[in-house]
Amino acid sequence: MKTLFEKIGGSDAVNTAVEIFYRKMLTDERVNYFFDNTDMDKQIAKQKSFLTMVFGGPNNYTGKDMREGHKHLVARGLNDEHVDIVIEHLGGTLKELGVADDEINQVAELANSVRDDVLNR
Amino acid sequence: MPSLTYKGRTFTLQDQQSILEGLENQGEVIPNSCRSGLCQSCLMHAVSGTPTSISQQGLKETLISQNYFLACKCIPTEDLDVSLPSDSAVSIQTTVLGKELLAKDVLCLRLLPQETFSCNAGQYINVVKDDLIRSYSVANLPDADGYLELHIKRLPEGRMSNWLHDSIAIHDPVTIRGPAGNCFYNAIHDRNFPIVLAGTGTGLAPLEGIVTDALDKGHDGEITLIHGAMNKSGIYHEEKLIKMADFHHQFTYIQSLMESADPANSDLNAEVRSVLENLDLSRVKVYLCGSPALVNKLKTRVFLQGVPSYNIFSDPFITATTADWDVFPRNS
Repeated sequence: MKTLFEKIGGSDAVNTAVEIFYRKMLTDERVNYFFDNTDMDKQIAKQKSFLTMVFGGPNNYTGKDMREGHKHLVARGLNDEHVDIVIEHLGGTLKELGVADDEINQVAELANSVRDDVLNR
Repeated sequence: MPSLTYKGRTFTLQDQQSILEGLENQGEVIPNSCRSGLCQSCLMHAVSGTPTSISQQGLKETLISQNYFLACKCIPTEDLDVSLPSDSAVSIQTTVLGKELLAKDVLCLRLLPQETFSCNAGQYINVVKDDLIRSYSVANLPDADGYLELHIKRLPEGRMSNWLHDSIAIHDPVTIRGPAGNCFYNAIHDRNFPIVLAGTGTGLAPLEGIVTDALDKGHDGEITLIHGAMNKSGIYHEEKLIKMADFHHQFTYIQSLMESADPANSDLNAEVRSVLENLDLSRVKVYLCGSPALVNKLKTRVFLQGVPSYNIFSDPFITATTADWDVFPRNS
């Protein structure tokens, strides 16, 4: 069976999606302060890996990476509410790209599966 | 099977093996993360041979044109000699050709390479003095001019900048490395896209170089250069840029002074925004240079205004933020 990553067009689609997704994150005042001092190019590269993972594409994201990568944000107050917002914007991005609802739900499920690692629980 | 050369050693890759896997099998440590062509942490440089186009997907045009590629996605179809990006840095001897003060605390330094040296305007070179290494952007067209022009701001505790300002004289030797950086004019498909360049202080150096290069190559899209400074004393090359704007109808030069009496041009962010409002955001290329804090903010704003991230160019080193001038890797 084709993964969503393949269905939506592989890494080209990820490149398009990240532009939409990162704009949504940066304009949302509930989360954009986490990005205040980040380098945009590096952030976009990280988000491409993240989107590839939640679209079921090839990746080697590990729970350990997720924990390490978000430790400093958890210390700054990153919590469940923020993870919900990420999933919300993921859904919005995919909707804009014409992805069907049940596939958006699959993506949300995959994103949800790393919640505890992200929040270092 | 094509052969691969790394650090002077040549070996043969296995069938369908990527360069990253091949090098790892040889016991080499290559930075990497996603291993699927996205995170770009396994970026490498083909010193000779052409990497596959698949291994260059998602890279900025300027990197592609210099034969950079992603090791995890590169199953080579021909022999390649590769290096990590920093390995390409080699030292080159130059002598001082000229020194002149452009503004209070800004020195124009012209260096004459003693060997073949090729570089794009807007890239940077490293000046090496004993254990000190500092990056400076190239403000002219070295390939055409035969020399390099650097703009050097004197920093209060800057050991390198004070040495360059006060101690070196005409004909003195200066060691450089490079060039590096992907903040330069690049037109693969056409020459009529709009260009917006904004920077403060000696951030003008690379931007001026890029404008000169674009005009020299016959770019006919609109080019707007915005130079920001605290006040008039931070502005330099005014006359030169006004003349260029008079001569080239497609080029506009704007000053943005924070202490200006006219609030309309006292805000660099607002200036950039209003220039972009009149342009095709899907095609415009934006170049940003200056202090890390400013560049980071501007980059995000320009992106949010609708410019795709791959059309926003700024020097990667410029964002290495630190308040300690002695370890600050970039002075102009």
